[in-house]
Amino acid sequence: MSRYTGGLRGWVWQRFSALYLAVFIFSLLALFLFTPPENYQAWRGLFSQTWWSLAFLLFVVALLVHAWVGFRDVLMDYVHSDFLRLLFSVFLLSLLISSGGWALMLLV
Amino acid sequence: MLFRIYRFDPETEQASSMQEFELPMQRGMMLRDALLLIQEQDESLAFRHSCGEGVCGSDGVNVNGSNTLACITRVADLKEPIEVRPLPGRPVIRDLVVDMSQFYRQYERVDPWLKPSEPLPEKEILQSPAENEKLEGLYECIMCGCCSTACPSFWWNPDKFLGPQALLTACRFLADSRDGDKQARLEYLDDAYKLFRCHTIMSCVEACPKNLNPTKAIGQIKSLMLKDQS
Ligand code: SF4
Ligand code: SF4
Ligand code: FES
Repeated sequence: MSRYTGGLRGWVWQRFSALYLAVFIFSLLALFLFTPPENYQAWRGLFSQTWWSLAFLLFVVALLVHAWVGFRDVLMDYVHSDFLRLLFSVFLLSLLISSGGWALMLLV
Repeated sequence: MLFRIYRFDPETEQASSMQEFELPMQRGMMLRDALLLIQEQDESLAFRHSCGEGVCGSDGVNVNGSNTLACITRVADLKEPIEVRPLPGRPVIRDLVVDMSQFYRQYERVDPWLKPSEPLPEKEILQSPAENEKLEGLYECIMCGCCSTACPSFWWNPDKFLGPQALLTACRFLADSRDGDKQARLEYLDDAYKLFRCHTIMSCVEACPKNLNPTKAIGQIKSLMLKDQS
């Protein structure tokens, strides 16, 4: 287990998620550029492949993690009342989690 | 040359104002010289200065929007009107003099002294030239505060975020072969605020009149933490 859990962990998560986001988005662009799915059916068809669904799921998770660390940063920078910060955090977290749930619903 | 100088006495005035002064151009004039001449015109102008050669770090001011040391800033290089304000984000005591206590407190929090792990030897603790080189770019800080008062993260959380100056100092002791307290130092810095409020905006690097690079030092601390994981 890591010794540094206070600030380093969030930072590392942010970096790793950013890396994956970049890789995924560039792969997606490459896909559209070189072998664009011909129609909606073909596009949906991609999702029936396990590796693709997994990669997409990971993308959603990375996006949520990245967004959360970013939101948390903004809150820590600008919202200095503990109560308000908690309130905003709960609100944003539920927003992120429900978007994640929504993405999951689209996937299955 | 036209100068616009920030004036404010919080004890007697409600709001700050800018006062204009005219000075004849002189060859090789530094901003500190100009402020001294302006003070001859108006004795009530308050500002700090001492060494006059970029060593003591007491005359940090904000000139045309950038923080710098007045004594090593050539007036000829500045655009007119030359606007001189106190370092941003700190409480003004009077005119260009600000209260830097918070800045010094943050410095204190990184324990800016060597903590050898072994009992001190009779004479000095020796360092190889290579070990000594690691301190370069870190030990030269004169604590003028130009960096920390230019840092947005320090403006928002001056009590929780240590700021570039203190973090540069933390790195200076982490990089020192004679220090034996590295792990505790790193653990101390590992929370959401002290170090990790830095968003690598690099205003500090731009501001430092000694051309030091606090952002790089902050990056070094992060990689030390990463290396020390597990
Ligand atoms: S790099 Fe970090 S310490 Fe330097 S000004 Fe930006 S936020 Fe502040
Ligand atoms: S790092 Fe540079 S700007 Fe910051 S206090 Fe030290 S000398 Fe001044
Ligand atoms: S007067 Fe000492 S640094 Fe400028």
